Amino acid sequence: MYAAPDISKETVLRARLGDRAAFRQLVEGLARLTFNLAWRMVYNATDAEDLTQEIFLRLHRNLDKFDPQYPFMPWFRTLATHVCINWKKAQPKAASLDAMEVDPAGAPGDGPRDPSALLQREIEKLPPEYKMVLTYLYFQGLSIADIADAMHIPPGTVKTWLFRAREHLKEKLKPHVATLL
Amino acid sequence: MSCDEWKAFLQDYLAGGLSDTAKSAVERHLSDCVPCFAEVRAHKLVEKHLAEQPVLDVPAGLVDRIVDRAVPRRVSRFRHELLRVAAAFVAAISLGAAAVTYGYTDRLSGAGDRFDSARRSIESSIRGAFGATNLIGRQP
Repeated sequence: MYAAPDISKETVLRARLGDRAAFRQLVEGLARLTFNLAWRMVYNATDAEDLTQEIFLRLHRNLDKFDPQYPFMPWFRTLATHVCINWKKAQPKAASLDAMEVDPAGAPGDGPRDPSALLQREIEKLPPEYKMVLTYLYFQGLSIADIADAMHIPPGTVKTWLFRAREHLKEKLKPHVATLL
Repeated sequence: MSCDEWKAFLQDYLAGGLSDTAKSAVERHLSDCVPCFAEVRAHKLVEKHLAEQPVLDVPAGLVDRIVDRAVPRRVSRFRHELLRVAAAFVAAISLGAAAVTYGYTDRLSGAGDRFDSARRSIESSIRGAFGATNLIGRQP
């Protein structure tokens, strides 16, 4: 689990006023979290780097919209979520929620035999919204309420997406697990 | 109970939301039922895999590239003015030092041309630093 970095509001406000050193401090504090979030969306180092840059450029452009009365991290997560999902949707062959079905698993001999490699391949194929909820839950350890807040969706939708994502992965894995029992 | 009925409990079991009694009942069922056991095991493998995905280091230079793109480096106006004043100050000191040195040499050797030449060169440097401003007078 990757704990959220401690970003002081003062740093954010200084960065908002155009202080280059403060913005750098902000990027340094958030870079690891953001790069890993981006990587879990694209599973490719080059694209993850581009996506990370895009998130921070958007952050810089939108800093004046941050309301200092509220905590910074949820606001940043919402911004990062939108950039990630829009980025992924703009890529060709992005999976869609409608197309996402909990389909019957392929035969055990179909694709990688290693359950871990198989899971990885299936995770990469998930729609961006599903990847995002999985990342927030398993990488950052956020609660359902915090994920809902970051993604601007009802908690019930978070639960549904989590269930469907895990169900899809589990169904893909089950035939392989059965052979291991 | 059928496996479909147990399935409702399995979700809560996996989420850790069952009482001790219900949890024991589910575990007894799992010890007898291969399909339900496979379901739970697959679910736990998924969670384990997701939780164990590596935390990657930020690529070298990425922070610099981001900061340079977002806030391009530029010399502030104040710093620019400060540099100009410093340059003029150094030039003035050099001029003074040259005047003393060449004046002394001039008296010794009578080579006044060398003093004029050095003076012109230093004045030209100062004009460069101050732009069009002529702070030390016109050339004779």
